[in-house]
Amino acid sequence: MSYQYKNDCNPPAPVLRITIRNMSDNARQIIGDALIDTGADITCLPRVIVRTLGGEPVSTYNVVGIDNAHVGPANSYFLEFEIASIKKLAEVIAIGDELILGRNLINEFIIQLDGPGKITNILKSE
Amino acid sequence: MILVDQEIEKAVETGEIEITDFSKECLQPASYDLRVGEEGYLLSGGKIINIQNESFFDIQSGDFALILAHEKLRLPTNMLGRFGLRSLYARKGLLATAGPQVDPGFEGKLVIGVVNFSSQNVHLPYLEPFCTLELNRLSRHSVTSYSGQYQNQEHLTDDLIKLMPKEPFPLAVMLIRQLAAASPSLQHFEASILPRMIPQELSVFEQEKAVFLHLKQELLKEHRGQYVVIRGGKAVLFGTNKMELAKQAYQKFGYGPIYVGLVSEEYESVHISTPRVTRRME
Repeated sequence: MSYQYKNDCNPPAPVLRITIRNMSDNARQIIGDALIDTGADITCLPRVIVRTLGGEPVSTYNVVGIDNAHVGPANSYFLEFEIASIKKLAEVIAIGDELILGRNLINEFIIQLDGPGKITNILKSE
Repeated sequence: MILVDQEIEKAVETGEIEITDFSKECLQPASYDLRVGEEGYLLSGGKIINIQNESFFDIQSGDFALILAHEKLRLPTNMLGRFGLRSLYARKGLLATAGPQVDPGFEGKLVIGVVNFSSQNVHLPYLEPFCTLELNRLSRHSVTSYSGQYQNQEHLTDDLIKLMPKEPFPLAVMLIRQLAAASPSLQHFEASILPRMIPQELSVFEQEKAVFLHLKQELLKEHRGQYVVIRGGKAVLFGTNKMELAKQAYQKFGYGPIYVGLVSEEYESVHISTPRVTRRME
């Protein structure tokens, strides 16, 4: 399955179309494009999305940013993700204003980045 | 005479006073901001925390803490200091406890006692300016110089910690004990609730988290490195895979508030090395 790069980023950025659901209530779902970010240990969602999905927090992380700068505490949640028709349960933190796909989810897939073609291909899931 | 910013800076430059790791950014119009230092102590935790390693220091609602200032000071015998919390932290519900003054001739790092009177945790990053020091020049040099037990203090010591109150939530404890003393019918309440008292205005998640923090020292004895699920104020499940443990908890108890904590002396951290997530959260 292939996805166009996000062209409103400069340079264009690889994204995946994802569906996020409350794990106990599949009717509550959000679909969006998540930035593939191998620098993020964990997937990040804006708080408004977590609230909309009715996620229950499960723990709190200390978030460390660039140059080991302390960003602050953030609560984590378990949510269901659907990427390329494959469903995965993943832990996310509620932080920032964008959907950021971290390595906890990226590493579940074989992803090919075709920079010149500005296309992301999902080849396989673990 | 209270020193203004340029006088403080000049006094440091000439060596009249010493403030280690002096930063102009900490200069206020008539004071100098002291930053959160390397060590802290929480009454509820019962051990010295290396704030530099943890990178922050969280003070739970109702808890009493000692915080070592980052800067080492040296005052001449014609100068004394007074310090108080920055208004930001006073507004968040912290109250500093301190002696009347930093005596002339003091040399060392200040230790500030702080009580969190709010219903929320207060988060203090390492090196955050959290209190401010006013410097007063005296009319003459004092005959004697400070030579008390805190002279040359650079760490939190057992002697300091022994002086702290023994109850985890001192103010609330005091109030309940006074109520119990006034009404014998409340004495059962005092005996049963006090040892495990968690502020009820917290969300269920925050209450479970507070229970986890309260139990952590005990859990470390047998479950170090494992994850634990806290539900209903108790540790109910243990395991090594966080996601599997959470799934197990949701299957067993339904999708509701739980806290899943790592039984470790360190806080769980995640690195998000992107400029897209840099905002400090309250």
